[in-house]
Amino acid sequence: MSSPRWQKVEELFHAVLEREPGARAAYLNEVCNGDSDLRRDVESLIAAADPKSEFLARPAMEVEARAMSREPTGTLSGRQFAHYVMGPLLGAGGMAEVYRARDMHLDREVAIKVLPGYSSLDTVGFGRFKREARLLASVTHPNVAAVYGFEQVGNVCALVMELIEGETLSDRIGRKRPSIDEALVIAGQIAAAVEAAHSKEIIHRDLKPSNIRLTTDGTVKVLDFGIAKMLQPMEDSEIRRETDQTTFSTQAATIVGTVAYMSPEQARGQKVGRPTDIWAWGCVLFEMLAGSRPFEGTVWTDMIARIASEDPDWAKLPPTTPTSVRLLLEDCLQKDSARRLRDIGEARRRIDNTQAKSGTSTAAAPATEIALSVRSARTLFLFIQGGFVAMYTAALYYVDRLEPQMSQIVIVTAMMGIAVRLFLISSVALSHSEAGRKFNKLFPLLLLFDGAWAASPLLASPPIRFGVALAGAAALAYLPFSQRTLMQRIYGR
Amino acid sequence: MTDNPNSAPQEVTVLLQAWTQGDESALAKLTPLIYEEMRRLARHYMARERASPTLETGAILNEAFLRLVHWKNARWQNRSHFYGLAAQMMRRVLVDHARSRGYSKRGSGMRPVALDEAVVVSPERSSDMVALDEALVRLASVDERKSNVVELRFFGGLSVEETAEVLNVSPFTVARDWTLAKAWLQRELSGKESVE
Repeated sequence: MSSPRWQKVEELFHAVLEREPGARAAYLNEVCNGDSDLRRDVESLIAAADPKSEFLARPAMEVEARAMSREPTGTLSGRQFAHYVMGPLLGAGGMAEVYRARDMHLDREVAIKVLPGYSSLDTVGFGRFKREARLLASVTHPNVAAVYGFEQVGNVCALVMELIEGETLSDRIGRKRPSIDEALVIAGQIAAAVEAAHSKEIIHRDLKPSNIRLTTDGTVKVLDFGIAKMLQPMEDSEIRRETDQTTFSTQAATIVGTVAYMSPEQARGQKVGRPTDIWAWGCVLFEMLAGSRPFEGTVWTDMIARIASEDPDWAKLPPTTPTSVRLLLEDCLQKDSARRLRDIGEARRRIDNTQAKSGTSTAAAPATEIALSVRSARTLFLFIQGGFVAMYTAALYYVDRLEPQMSQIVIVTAMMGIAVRLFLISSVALSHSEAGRKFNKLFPLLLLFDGAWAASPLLASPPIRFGVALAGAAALAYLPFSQRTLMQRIYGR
Repeated sequence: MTDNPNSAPQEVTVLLQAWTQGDESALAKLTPLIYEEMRRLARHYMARERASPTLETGAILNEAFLRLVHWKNARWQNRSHFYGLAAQMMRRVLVDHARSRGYSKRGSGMRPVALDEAVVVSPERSSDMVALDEALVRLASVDERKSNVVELRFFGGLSVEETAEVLNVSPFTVARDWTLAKAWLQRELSGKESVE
């Protein structure tokens, strides 16, 4: 672009801008005099010159500083923070980021939650942060992600927490909806965690499936108790006085996580308390059972309107949901917090009772990764046993067609087989509590029977085709093991 | 980092002078001071956003900027000269900062930087700042004064009058240059997300 040409562009640019928008095109036509390149150049500049544009409206330092204040990322990875070596970023929310880290003193892996909002704290604010951290650290419960402590280096404050590996409940629900039994086991453990926190006057405030992790050994861990309060101190009037000088950005914190689990009182900005967590717990249980949240909406204002005024779609719950669980959900999802279930401990007890009635127990059933419900495992087990009884009976019926030596073996194994199977059928059908243990004792015997049974055709003369016999043996040898798997599913190990 | 901006005004002016004479290590020493100011600003926004999202920030920036460099105490014969240098320095530091934000996500190796220098930031808008810097280089080849106006106004945070003083032209000219430069850059960057 030559200099005289640029001067011409500049001159025209200002001249055109001075004219009314309606008169600009005619003016340009006139002055460009057929020079379409010039015309296009000036036109595109005019189009880009929006006086209301925010472009470059704020100084660079402010743009950079605002970006810093708003959107954290894993810049601490690979650095040392106090006696922790920061590993990869595990997750970042609007106002906090979580890193995997190694504690060099205790030589263990931890999770560190950096709270950038706290870097601005004065001594009063930091004192409050310390008090909160101390309170959170006082909760020790197997279902609560432990808070080990807090660290401050320079103006970065961080909470040191137990590192929990395993998928989040939200991923789990997305992958495959839990069965009713599984959902109850998980909900029971969540309730136990919330109960432990409530006993220390700690309200979670942001209970939702993405804050709940399922570890590989089947333990449910609830994360981030009280973190929402640390990030959003304005809710509490006592806190408001204290931190008048240090309020926090709430762009991210006001709409904490998803609105979907927010209680009506939270949505209205009223005081939150235990009922808030009970509501959220109800939402989580509903979601596990139904596979979708009780209150859905495409925009959050919609969702809040539904939370405030509509009943959840109870028809979304599976038809086999026990009545006791339906009633419990109705109690938890009462709009009026005064009419809601009083105590999360009661929710846990009601869950326990439901499980006891359906013949399962919290302790026995592994919480995750179970494809088959206890009920269907039992049905299948009984079906297999019935099949064996039918097979033995048929063998006895046709026994006179066999050779004498062969028929004796068949009679003995079939009679004993029928006896063992009938015993198993009766104890499992009647939910005998010792059935699982007895089965384990009988297991070698079962192996022997089924093995002998499979081998018997080989003794027949003339022998039936050898291949068929081998295949049958393989199938029968497998059966005792599959029966054992089913028994373990029903009764635990 | 042990430097406290309040205790180091003399150092800043000395470093700035050294940098203008080609000492790149002086810039490396200045950078943490600017980062510190930036963090202070960032914390300020974090704390204030809710209470008063429309709080006038131009004033804050000037205060921060001036506090950083303590120009009133500096032995600068020429205030304009100083503004010009400071704006250049700010451009270098801020663009580098934005660039490092963009890269920090990808890099996973250990970086020998003290933790409290670890600014908690995002790469979201960093590419815009870098793209803007590059566009500004192209603008300088077309019209150097307009590029200077943008440097002083945007990176230096100077008002139209202050910019006019530095460039020794009338405020009217600066305002016209500013309008055209913004349009030119906007067109140059069109298709990309704008820098706020």
